[in-house]
Amino acid sequence: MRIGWNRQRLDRKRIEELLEDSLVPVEPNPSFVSDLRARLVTIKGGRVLSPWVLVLILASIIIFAASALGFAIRILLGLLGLVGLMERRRRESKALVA
Amino acid sequence: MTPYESDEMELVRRAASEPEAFGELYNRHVTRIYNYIYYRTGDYQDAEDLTARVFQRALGHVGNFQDQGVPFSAWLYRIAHNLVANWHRDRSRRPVVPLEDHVADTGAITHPEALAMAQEQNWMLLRAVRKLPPDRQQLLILKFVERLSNAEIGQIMGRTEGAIKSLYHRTLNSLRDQIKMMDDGATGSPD
Repeated sequence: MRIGWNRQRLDRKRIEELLEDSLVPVEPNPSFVSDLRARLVTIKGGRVLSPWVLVLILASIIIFAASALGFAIRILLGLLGLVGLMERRRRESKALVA
Repeated sequence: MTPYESDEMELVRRAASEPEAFGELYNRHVTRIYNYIYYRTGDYQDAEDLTARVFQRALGHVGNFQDQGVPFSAWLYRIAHNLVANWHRDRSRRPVVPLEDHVADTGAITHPEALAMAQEQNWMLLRAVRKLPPDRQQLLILKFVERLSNAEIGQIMGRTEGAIKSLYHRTLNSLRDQIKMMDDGATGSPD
């Protein structure tokens, strides 16, 4: 299609008029605007933990796990010691009987 | 600083911890950011997708925003500008605004032939705008869609008011050349 721009006097004023006619504000879809707002506010509301709090929680978990592991090893060693003690006593009593 | 600007800075400070404050900032700027992205991409779906990403990014970094005399809107426009640049790079294409989206803009014209001509001119003008470098497109959108002053555009684009005036003058010249070049092509092609 022939537009005929060349037949018009394309001076600065004319170009500005054309831009004013073409570059008009558009309205976003209202449901998009409200859905996005709800999503952003929910994300913000749900994001109660700052990165430092997360680091603190992680460090606490690691320390707690290490303590729990140490405690479990001590219990295990204690039990083994008890079994060993009982076994030694049993052998000693057998030796005395003999 | 105007009362509106100081109120906005207060909202920005609160937005780092209060969802409702961020919601208020969102209400104030969403349409402008959407318009900017729409005219840079030419597609409603992409404009919605990128607008959502702008505000998600803003939400993640609003706590780092520092008041250095630049309005919050300038910060949002810069995020939008970067995301649109990435979008163009990823897609490596320059989409066109669907012609039917701008039919309403020619409201006063009723004759079918005149209407078709006006639509075609409108469409060609938007195509010519999209062929300009990104900073010039940004300038035209901020000036004509957002109706911002040269000083406000300067704050957003990180340039002086004088530099914006000069860029605007050069932009209109390039746009005129671009339109003439496109029209020569259209006139030379068989109808």
